[in-house]
Amino acid sequence: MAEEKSQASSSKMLTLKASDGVLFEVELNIAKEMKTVQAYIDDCEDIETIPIPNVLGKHLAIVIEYIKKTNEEYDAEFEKQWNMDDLQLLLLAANYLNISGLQECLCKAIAKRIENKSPEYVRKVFNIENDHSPEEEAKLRKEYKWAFEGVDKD
Amino acid sequence: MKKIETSSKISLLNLPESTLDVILELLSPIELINMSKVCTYLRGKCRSDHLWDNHMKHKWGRVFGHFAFKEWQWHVTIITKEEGSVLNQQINILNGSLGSFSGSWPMLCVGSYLEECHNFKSLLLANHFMMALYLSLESGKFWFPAQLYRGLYVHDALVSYNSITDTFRARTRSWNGRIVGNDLHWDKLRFSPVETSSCVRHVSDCFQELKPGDHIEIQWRGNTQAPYEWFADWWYAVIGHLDSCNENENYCLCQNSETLVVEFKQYPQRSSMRKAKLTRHTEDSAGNYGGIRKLHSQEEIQKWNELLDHQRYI
Repeated sequence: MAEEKSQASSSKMLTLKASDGVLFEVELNIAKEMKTVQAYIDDCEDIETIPIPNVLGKHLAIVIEYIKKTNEEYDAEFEKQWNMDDLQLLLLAANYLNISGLQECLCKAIAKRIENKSPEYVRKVFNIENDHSPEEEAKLRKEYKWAFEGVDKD
Repeated sequence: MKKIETSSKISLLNLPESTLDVILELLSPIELINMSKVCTYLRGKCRSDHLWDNHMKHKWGRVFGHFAFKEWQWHVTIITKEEGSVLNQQINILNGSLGSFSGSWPMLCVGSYLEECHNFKSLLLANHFMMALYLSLESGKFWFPAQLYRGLYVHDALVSYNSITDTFRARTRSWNGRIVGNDLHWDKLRFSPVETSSCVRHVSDCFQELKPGDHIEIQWRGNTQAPYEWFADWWYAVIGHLDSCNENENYCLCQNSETLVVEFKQYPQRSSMRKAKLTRHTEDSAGNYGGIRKLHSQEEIQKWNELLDHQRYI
């Protein structure tokens, strides 16, 4: 269970409830960085617990920490800690919660991990099925190599 | 929105399309080509004109301009025509596609040339114009019109890129296509600002309004006798005052005179090379001087002034 202790008794606290039931107490100004939550608050002023049905506790914890600590240095190190599955789930979370800074950071991270990688590698790490026919596959393999230099080994 | 189970595998394709677009926009051309091989959905997305247009602007914007693009459109038309059509036959003869022509024999001028154009046919037929264009430039197969900086003038040429050395080769636009430059760096090139043909005099539209202080580029050729001399060089100059004028702004009537004074600042004041006197409304092609292009962009004027300063200190 990950329950945050409140920082200052004067600032208003909000509770976010993740999809697996984990509760997070966050300051209002942190919660407002998530535009989806902001919209919720705008609609129902007196709400104290906001349900976040699409995000697991473990990812919501990471998102909240990001909002608190984000700066150039933090962002640069942030993406290195997570595996590909978590990166994609975090991006889905950031997308749902509508946090533009985090979305940008994660998109850059994913793009970086595709750098100089082969199509086979991309299929493996992103769980994508190859739906090309064998003929198409053979044709694509050779296409446009002549325009550039080689690609890195996986 | 559907609840995501921890046990099921997540795929990149689960992301919303707009988010996927953001990721694809961050990828380099090589990465886009690799991604297009992953699955049929990504193949369509990674070849879209929007993504490749970004790369065109980013890498080629400074040297590949509007008139070069028109040449490309000409090649697209030829290549995508049906086999056996009159236009299409040009390709069978030369294995490449000749661009637009101007002038008349023997002073024929070629607008561009696309080598091994069959390489681009399937992309073009699938309407992936920008990707085909980018690859034609990157591979060096597209000899496109551009201008080379040479001291205080620019020279019209056809250029082709070498991706291994990140430099260009240049040929004349004349029929013989003689090589005029190798290992040219990016900063030696700029896009063609007018639809110039090296073999005809540029038709100026600014003669009427030229006045002292205006910055211009003027066509010049060294030898007026030889039939193969081209109007391929453009020199930087400034419109000067007539000798009779005392250069007082309020009393200057130089703009109304039939005589146009073109001043080349790289020569000292007393030099005979400093000023050239031309007739404002002449269509005379026999002289050394050709058409004039008035400069409006501060960037262009500044570049010339930097080159002038550099010249003076040598």
